[in-house]
Amino acid sequence: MNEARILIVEDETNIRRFVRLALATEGYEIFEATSLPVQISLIRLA
Amino acid sequence: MGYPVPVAGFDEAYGDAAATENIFWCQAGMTNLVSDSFPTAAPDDQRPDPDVLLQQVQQEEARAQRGRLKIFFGASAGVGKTYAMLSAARTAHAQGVPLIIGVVETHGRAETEALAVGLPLLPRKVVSYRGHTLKEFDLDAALAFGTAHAGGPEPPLVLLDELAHSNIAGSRHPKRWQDVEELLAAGIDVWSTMNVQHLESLNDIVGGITGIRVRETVPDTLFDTAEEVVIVDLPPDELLARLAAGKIYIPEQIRHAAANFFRKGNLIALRELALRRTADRVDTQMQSWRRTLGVTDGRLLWSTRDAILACVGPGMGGEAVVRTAARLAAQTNLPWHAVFVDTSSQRRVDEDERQQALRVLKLAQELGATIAMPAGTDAGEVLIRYARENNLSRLVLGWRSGRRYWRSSLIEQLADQTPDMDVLQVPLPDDKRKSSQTRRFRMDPALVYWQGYVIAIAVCMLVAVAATLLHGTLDMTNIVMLFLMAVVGVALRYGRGPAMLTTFLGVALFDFFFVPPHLSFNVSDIQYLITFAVMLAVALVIGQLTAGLHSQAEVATERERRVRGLYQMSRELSAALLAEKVAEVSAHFIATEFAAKSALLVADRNNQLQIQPGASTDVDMAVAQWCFDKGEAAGHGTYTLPSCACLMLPLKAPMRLRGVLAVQPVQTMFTPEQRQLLDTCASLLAISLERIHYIQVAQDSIVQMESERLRNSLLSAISHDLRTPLASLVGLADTLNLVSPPLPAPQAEIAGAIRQSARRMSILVNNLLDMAHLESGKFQLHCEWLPLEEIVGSALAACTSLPERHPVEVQLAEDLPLLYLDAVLFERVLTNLLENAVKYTPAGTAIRISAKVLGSSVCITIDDEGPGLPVGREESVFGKFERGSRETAIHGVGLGLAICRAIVQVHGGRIYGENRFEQGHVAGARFVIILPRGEPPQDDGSEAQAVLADRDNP
Repeated sequence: MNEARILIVEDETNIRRFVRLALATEGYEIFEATSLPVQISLIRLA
Repeated sequence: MGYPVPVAGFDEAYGDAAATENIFWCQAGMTNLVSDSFPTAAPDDQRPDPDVLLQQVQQEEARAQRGRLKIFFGASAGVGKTYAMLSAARTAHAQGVPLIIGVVETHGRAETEALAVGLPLLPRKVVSYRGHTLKEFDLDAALAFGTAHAGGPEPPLVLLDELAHSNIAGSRHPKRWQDVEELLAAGIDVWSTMNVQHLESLNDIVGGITGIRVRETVPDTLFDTAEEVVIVDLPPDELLARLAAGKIYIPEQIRHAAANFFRKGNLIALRELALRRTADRVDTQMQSWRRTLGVTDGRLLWSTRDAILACVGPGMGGEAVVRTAARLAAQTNLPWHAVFVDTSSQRRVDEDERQQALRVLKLAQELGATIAMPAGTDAGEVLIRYARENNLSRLVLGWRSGRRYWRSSLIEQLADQTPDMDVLQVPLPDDKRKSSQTRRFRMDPALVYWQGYVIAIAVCMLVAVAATLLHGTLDMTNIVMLFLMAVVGVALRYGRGPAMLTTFLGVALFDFFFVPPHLSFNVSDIQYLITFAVMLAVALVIGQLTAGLHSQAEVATERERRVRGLYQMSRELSAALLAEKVAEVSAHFIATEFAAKSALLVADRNNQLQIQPGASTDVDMAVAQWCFDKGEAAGHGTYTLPSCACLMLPLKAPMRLRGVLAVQPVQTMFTPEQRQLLDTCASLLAISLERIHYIQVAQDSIVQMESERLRNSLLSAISHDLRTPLASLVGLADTLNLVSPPLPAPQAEIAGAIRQSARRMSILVNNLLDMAHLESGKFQLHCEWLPLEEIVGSALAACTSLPERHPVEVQLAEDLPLLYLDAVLFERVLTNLLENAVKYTPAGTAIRISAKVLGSSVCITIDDEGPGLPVGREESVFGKFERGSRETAIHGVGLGLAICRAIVQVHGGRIYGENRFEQGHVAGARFVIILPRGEPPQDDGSEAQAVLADRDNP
């Protein structure tokens, strides 16, 4: 398992989906968001 | 075409050996300059006026394009002009000049005919005229001959005997010299022959010498502007000997006239005239030569101040004045004007004389004058004003002894008011007999005049009866007043003549009925004689004044009506937005103004004349086309195709010709003022048509701009919305390979196919977006100085399918400089070209990329070995949505090359495609990109640092 955590910010669901799948196969921990405010709150939560 | 006067019928054909002839080749050895059209200039210093020189240069240039005219000029028939011309033609033919005999009259002389043998002969056109079959010169064939031989080392040459010949009715031009003009204008050289009697300005002099007037004449300007005049001279004695020996051809029917003509005295005089006229010509050449050199003896050889004004008009002289002025102008090399003063008093009274004067004016124009028809009541005043306005200081007027009083006063008046002008008086032949004839003739048809006189008598009777009835209550003075009133009334309504009649009749009636003793012309009281005299004088004056006023008012009304018509027309035209509307306005104007039928022909995009709807006359399209092509009036009343029923006027707008106006006059020809009005009308129409044309152009371009803009915004919108789902499609298809567990083989294959199709589609959409982006104008280049190898390398790497299908050969010249390019975009250019090669050429064929320096540019070529570009569409494949062949299995929308071109153009270069040929066969396509080389920065390290820094921060 990779140490790095990756946040994907993308409003298109399908694009977000395949990027997540591709990165997940590499073993990263993935976070998803559709826009910026959500992203920051997520980071803080983590 | 008959010969109205005998002498015109025989021209010489003379075939004796040329041993006894004296032929003077009179040749100035330099370009002859037009003698009568130098611009106004009178500089005080000795330097040549630059405007004059410029005009001379322009004339020489114009002349160089025109054909050259050579005239074989003789004193009379029988001197051997045709023989001399044919001899010269044989020499020219031997030297390889492309020549053809248009018309040569040998009159059956064996020696002359022998000369013509072996020279190419233009077949004559067979024309049937009034039941006769005639053979005429074929102008079109001659023009075709000229076109066929144009551009050779020697210009084509046409031999055309008898320059003064009249063509038969129905020919394109009424005179042969007009045919010659057209040939010259087409750049064809012409050789022709003429006699001194055929020169327009000498026509009456020759007539005076020989007693025979020749009707067939040639304008002097043609003679003076001829490149070369060859005098064919023969002493009179030898000519007479030749005549006696029967060596001169004379038709049987004119033997008698010929005997009178060929008298020694005549021949000597004619010979002198011919030699002198040619000497004048040479003198003119000498003067223009001196002018070009600037040798002017300290002053210019002429100044415009001396220009000549010939006054034409009833009573002021006609033909004689014009001819005198023309000769004077020719001798002194001055410009000249001819005017006909249209005084209102002449409008009704002397219609025939007026027509005569207009004919004379036309003659003056043919002789090279500038003509005008100023109007006014007082001839003298108008003449002086015109002369001052146009800087004319010599007036030429006709003068007739013992004619009317006021005529001589005109000359006196002119002499009085213009001490600074010369007034030349030309004695006029006494033509009383003729004028009385015309006067009697004129009375008949004018019913109005009869009416006028009848009513004048009736009015007098009525007044007499009324006065008789009131005799008891009315004073004598009041009776006189009644008669005066009758005079005023008649003058007002019927003009001068009836008013005069009323005057005299009134006085007579007054005397007979009212003056004691009644019913007798005797007068008891001597006082009444004074009454009569005063009554007569007053009535005459009132009558004259009233009639004059009346006709003036008529003239003014007429003019005002005309101006109003034009004004109305221009206002209607300014509102017109369609050519059909212009046609309607023009038809309406011509119908009301001239009561004539008309048609408007407008040139379409392909310069084809189209008759606009609403035409009321049939148009001979051939004549209209001629008029349009030449930009000159043609048809009825002109020199060109006068047998046509319509007068064709070219519609000359500022930019170009817009069409032709065809007008069919009701009965007679148009008078000069009507022609002027028509010309004004034509130019108004032309301007309107041009305006409409440009409205159309503006609208078209607005529509085009709009549609372009719409397309671009549509493209960018669609492209953007398509791009996102396509990107996810490609990504998702890619991820299908990554998921675990791995897909089984069939599914993996399907996923691969989805991925490939999606990728292809995304390339297309990218192209669309790029194109829209490039065309939007909001586009920025990110240029750097780069080696071409780098870009070629990355382009080759981007074309993944390339290496497996085609061997690629890259030949880049050693000395290639750095190029200032946007790397990303330029890679697109190469990629697109390579992908095209992959798409359109069979697998296994080679692709070559090469680049070399060409002067200040760099030339990159990409060659393939495919089927090549479609022939004739090498350029159009660069258009948007253009593909090599319409229906094809190869995918794509036809944007690749359009993008390439757009990118190369924003780099300041150009791109084109062509086919490579090897041994006459298409060996493949070649695309060439030419880029400006630019000035690469000196590589001193700092630049490289900057470039690197640039790349790090894009």
